[in-house]
Formats: sequence, C-alpha cells, structure tokens
Amino acid sequence: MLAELFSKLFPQWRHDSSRDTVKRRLHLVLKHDRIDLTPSMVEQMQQEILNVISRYVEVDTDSLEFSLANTQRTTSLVANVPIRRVRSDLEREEPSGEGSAQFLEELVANELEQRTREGSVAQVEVIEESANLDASRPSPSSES
Amino acid sequence: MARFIVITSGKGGVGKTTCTANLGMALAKRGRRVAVVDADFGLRNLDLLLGLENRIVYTAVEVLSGQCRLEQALVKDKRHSNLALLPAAQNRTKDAVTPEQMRKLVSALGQSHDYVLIDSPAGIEMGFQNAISGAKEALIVTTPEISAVRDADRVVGLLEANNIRKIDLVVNRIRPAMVKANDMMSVSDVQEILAVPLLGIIPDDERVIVSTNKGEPLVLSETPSLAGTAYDNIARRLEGEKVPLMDLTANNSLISRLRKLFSTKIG
Repeated sequence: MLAELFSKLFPQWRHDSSRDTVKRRLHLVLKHDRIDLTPSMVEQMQQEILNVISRYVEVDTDSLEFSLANTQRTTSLVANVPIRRVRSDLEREEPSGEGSAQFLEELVANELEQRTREGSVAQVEVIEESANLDASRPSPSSES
Repeated sequence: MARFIVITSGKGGVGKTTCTANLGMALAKRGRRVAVVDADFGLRNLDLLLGLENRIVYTAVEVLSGQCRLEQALVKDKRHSNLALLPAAQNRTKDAVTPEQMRKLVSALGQSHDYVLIDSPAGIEMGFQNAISGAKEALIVTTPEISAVRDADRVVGLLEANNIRKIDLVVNRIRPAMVKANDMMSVSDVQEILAVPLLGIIPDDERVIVSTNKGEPLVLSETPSLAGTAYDNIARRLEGEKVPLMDLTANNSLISRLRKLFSTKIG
C-alpha cells in the first residue's frame, strides 16, 4: 500500500507494470516470429547488406542502425546507414584492396564472436575460408 | 448459403470447444440450423461440453469409410433439435482423416445447415490443417496471456496463407480487476497486437466450469451469467446485429444487480 502511494507521488519512479512488460515482450517476439528469421539470420543479413553498401560508400559503423519495425501485420527491416564519404572509382574497382581486406577481417572477427555465442560453428568455417582467400590475393599497396 | 466457420487458437485450453458449444447452442436458440463438427480426433471434447457423450454411435471416420450415412452419425441435441454434432473418433489420431475428406464432410453438412462450426484441435499440424480445410471464415480464440497471443498470431499468419481472409477475434477469460491493476493485458492491448477485428469478449466466469461439469452450455442456463450473455452477444454479432461490448467493469454488487433487475424490460 505504501508502495502504491509512493508510485502515485513519484510516477516516474514507478517500475514497469507486468502489463507493460508483457506488451513489450510480445511486440519484440512477434516482430521476429512474423518474418520467420532467426536473430542470427537477421544479423548475417545485416552484415552482408553492410558489405555491399561499403563497397560504394564508407559507412560510419558507430552510428549505424538496423531495426525491425512492426506495422499492422507486416514487419520491415529498417536500416539507417550514415555515410562518411563516397569511395572513389579506384577503390571500387579493386575489391581486394587493403581497406576492404581489413574490413573483411573485422567482419570475420565479429562473425566469429557472434557465432560462438550462438554455437553455430559450421558457418564460421565458411567465412574464415573466404577471408583467407581474399587475404592471399596480392594487394596493390604494401603493408609494413 | 451456409457459413463455414473454424474456431481455432493455436494454444490449447483457451476456450475453443467451450466457444463452439456455446456459440452453436446460442445460434440454434435463435432458430438457425447449426452443425458443430469436432475436429479433434483422438482427444474429443465437444461431445462432453454439449452433454451428448452418451449418444454417440458413429463418428466422422465411419461416415468417411462408408459404414454409415452422415445423418446417422449426426447427434441431434435434445434441447434444441436444430443443433447437431458430428463427433470425432476417440480411438484414432489426427491422421485418421485428410484435409480433402474433411472438406467433403463439411461441404455436405453445409447442404442442410445454416452454420457449420468446426472445433479445431490445438496446434498447427495435421489436426489444424484438417479443421481449416473446409472453412471459409475463422474465429481466433485467445486469452490475454503471452503464450496464447503469440500462438494466436502464428495461427492468423497460417490462416492467411491458407486463404482464409475473414478472421475475427474472441478474447476469452478476461479479468477486469487484473486489467485495472495492470496485471493483465486488456482486450484492446490484445486486439492491437494481433490486428484482427474483435468479435467479442468473454469474461472469466466460474459458471463456465459448472456448466461443463453438467454438460449444459452456459447459454442455456435459466439464470443469466456474464459469460453466457457474452456468447449470446457473439451469436447476435455473427448474425449481423450491432451489439455493444459488455461493460465488464460494472460492479456486480447486490445493489447494482437489484438496479439491473428493476430496469430490465420484461418480454
């Protein structure tokens, strides 16, 4: 009873009612249920989309936003991709350049982390393989 | 032109069979010819809810195998003879029938009835597929609880994928006091999430258990009940009548009951 009084006097300190909690949980769970994609699939999709975009523009990965939005009964994937600068034609023509190899290595590291967390080991090998392939191609600029 | 309505939910135990029994009976009370079909092969319960369990001779399986005619399997209710039950086989499983067979049965029933209500089993496997195969409309029954709503959502998706577009929602076992205390989702919370038009609300009512015990659908009770009235209202809405949703927050105290008694028109 005292807790009720307290929460009435200071409404901003009232913790989420279970009703609020269940609505929140349902919204989240249904967003994913409806598009029939596992969180790891969504993650993978995001990484690949990022790869493609990064070929054309340099992306500000810190303020990158990917989310699922729910309207009525459809779910949309919404991507907010801040662009730092556009890559020059030279960068775009040489996909195995120094910049993209590093980027690929970062991606692999992220992917590994993600997949070990989720335990899907099989896919890790595939990605490692493609990263190795790219890294073994001769790069135009030398690394010291 | 008969109406073929499947009553389904995904989640078990939310009130599909209770709904089918009471809606079927409510429509029959209003003079409609109603056939209720128990599609829960192996775990039949519609017969119990209607109190017709001792009168089953043949089931849908015997009709399909040609052992008897459809009319022989239909159990006519003694209280309202325009309500008939097509029982499910108890000693089989959900694979005892195919969707095509169900479609034929349901369609045949539509020749001599105004409403064919199909009581779907829980789940989304063969039993569910069978139940929806003959239907043109669906009623989704859910309770305001997380698992039920999640399952209902999946089922709505499956119904749409199977080309059943007329889908209506029934929210069952709502507890207004808990909703007020923010311990339960409200009907509009559920309806917003599922984004399916609302057909009716049924409050949690102990009298449902009593009616099940006796095998007497609540809509037949001499003394009105909240849940019984709710089922009657849904039947009226199915018939096209505009019935406002019951005010469940109304106090059920002695004073307010007396007040209602004096303000109710007789005849």
